[in-house]
Parts: sequence; structure tokens; C-alpha cells
Amino acid sequence: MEKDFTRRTFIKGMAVGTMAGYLGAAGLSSTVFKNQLLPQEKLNQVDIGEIKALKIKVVSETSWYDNNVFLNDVKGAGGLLVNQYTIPWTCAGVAAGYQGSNLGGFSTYIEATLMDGKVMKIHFDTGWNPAWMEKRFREEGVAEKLAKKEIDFMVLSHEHIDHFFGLEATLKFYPDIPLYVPKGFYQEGFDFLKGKSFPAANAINNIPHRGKMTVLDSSKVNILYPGIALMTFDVPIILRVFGEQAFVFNVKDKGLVLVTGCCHQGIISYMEEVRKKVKGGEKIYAIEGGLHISPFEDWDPQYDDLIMAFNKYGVQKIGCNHCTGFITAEKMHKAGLPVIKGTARNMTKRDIYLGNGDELAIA
Amino acid sequence: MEEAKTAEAQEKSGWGSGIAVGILVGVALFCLTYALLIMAK
Repeated sequence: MEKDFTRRTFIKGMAVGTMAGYLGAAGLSSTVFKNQLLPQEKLNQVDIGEIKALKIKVVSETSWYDNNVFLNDVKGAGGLLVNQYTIPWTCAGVAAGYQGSNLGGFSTYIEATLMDGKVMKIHFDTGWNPAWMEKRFREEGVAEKLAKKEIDFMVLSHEHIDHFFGLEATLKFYPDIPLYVPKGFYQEGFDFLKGKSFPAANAINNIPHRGKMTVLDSSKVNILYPGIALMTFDVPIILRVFGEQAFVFNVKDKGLVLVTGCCHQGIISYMEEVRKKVKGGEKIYAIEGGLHISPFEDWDPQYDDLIMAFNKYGVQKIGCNHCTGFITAEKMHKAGLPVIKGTARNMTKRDIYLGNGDELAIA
Repeated sequence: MEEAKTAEAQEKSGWGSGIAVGILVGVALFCLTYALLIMAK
């Protein structure tokens, strides 16, 4: 009997001891010995090289002129998941629009000076309304550079209407322009590039693209030239679009500069990916382009957290516009973030961020 | 009285050695699961 009693208490003690030992070992390994036991994530894996200087010109950031008209087009077609090639976008009768059309477009012109002095000229997105885009291309000298084939290549950030449907305005000047698109384009997108129109969506392109096209995927940081890279994100986007890519430039003595189209991947996710995958990612010097926070001027309290999170990255220049939203820019200014003001011209309504015709130079 | 004291001592001794062995077993179990997780990666 005495032995049994001892055995019973021994087993009870062992049960308690096993739990204590397991939990204690787990606790110690995840705290005190964390660095020794947990494999460290490899950071700064890709050295993309350096450029000397960067100039970013906002050709057009005004994708549409009346939010209500745009939203009514979407609602009337069945909502945000409807295929963009089937929606009859409003092209007439809009008082705030360009020649009555609600369609504008997004396009940016970039000059990156390589370390050997060569200037790479990049056409980033081609907008929506071909008439508006051609006007802006002419006003900013982009049309002339396209016609003379001085522009090295075009990058399409993603397949959305306001970044892509103005294709004809580029191809009429330079039909064989080398092109980079992100993986995820639908067949309609490739057909549109080949010269097929979608009249139901007022998407007209009669000029086939005849140049080299490269489809980039998200498996790696795609280095185009030393100091110039594209990162692609597998992200589902409203209006039945998939995938977006954005630029990472590394400007000597400054740091990384991120240039986005719409940033549907999320600006914080984008910065985190850059930190993980690109050498120098701990120093993001500047961001330019759409940040996709309040494109329809709505606000949700969770966006406040997003704005506060910016401080962690120490970004020194924010040249946001487009789908960032005026309300976001206002809140960023109030939070003391270095948002660059614009000049509110060429149909950009306010000077609270970089608008049409404004420029950000980094050297 | 003497028997009660002996029984109490045996109980204490049972708990003490049980906990000591249990801790060793617990740490060993954790090491095993950790090793399995690392190998699974």
C-alpha cells in the first residue's frame, strides 16, 4: 500500500512536471533563446544596384472627374466585381468632366539617370480617355518623345480602366514601344493590346501593339536596369482585375524610391515587401503615386492606423496623388507626414498633393 | 504517528521526484516537437 501511494504521487508530480517542463522550454526558447533557436528571416536579399538621379513627372493623376458618376456606372452595372470590359462608362454630359466625359486617366513620366550617365525614359501607364491622355502627352512633351522613340519602355502597373484603356493614345505615337505588364492580365487585356476594341465599355483601340512585351511575375524582384526594378504582387482587384506591379528605384546617397500606379497591394504591404526583399529596404526615402486609401473620399477609422504606421518607415518625401484621396492627404499633412504639395492645375482640383504637371526630382 | 510521518514523507518524496522527472520529460518532449518542426520545414 505504501509503495502504491508513493507511485500515485510520483505520477501526479510527473504530470505536473511534464507540463511545466514543456511550457517552460517553450517559453524560454521563444524569448531568452529566441535568436539562437529561431531561424532568422533573410533580409535585404536583392541588390538592385544604384542610379544617380530620378525625375518623376505627373502627366495625369485625374482618373475620373466626378466620383458619383463613376460610382453610379459601377452600381448600374452590378457592383465592384463586374468585369470592367462590360461596363458602359459615362463619356458624355458630365459637367465636371473633360469635354463632358467623366474619363481621365493615370500616367507618369519617369527619367532615371544611370550611374554611367545614360538617362532611361519610362512611360508608366497610359491612362483612360484617349483624347485627354493625348492632350496631356502633348502638353508634357511625352507625345514628342514617344514619336521620336526616345522613350525606352512602357510599364503597365495593372489592367484597370484608368491605367490601361487609353492605350491608343500611346500606340498612335509609338506602336512598337517595349512593354512590361504584370502577370494576371486577362485575355481581354491581351486582345486590347492586339487592337481589339470593347465598344460596350467605350474602350477603343485600333492600333495593335507591335513591340516586345514581357510579362513579369511575383517570384522575384525584377531588375530592369541597375537601380531600376519592378515588384509584382498577386493581388485580386475590383472590377475583375488581377495583379499589380510597382517600381523600386535606388538613388545613390538617398535610398529607395517607390513609384506606384494604384498600389492595390497596400502601401504598408508594399513597403514591408521592399524591406524584406531589397537591399537597402530599411531606408525608403520617398514614395510617389497612388496609395489607394480613400479613392472615393470616404473614411474609415482603420485608415488612421495606416497613416500612423507610416512613421515607422521614416519616409522623407511622399509624392502621393490619384487614388490616395484628398481626405487622406489632409490627414497625412495633419499627422506631420512629409506630403509634397502640388500646384492644382491641369484639372487637378487641389494643391494638397502632387497633381497634373507637377514633378518630384531626387538627386 | 510514526506511520503517518512516514506516509507524509513518502508523499512529499513522490511529488518531488515526480516533478523532477516530469520536467525532464517535458523538456525532452518540447525538444522533440521542435526538432520535428524544423525537419518538416
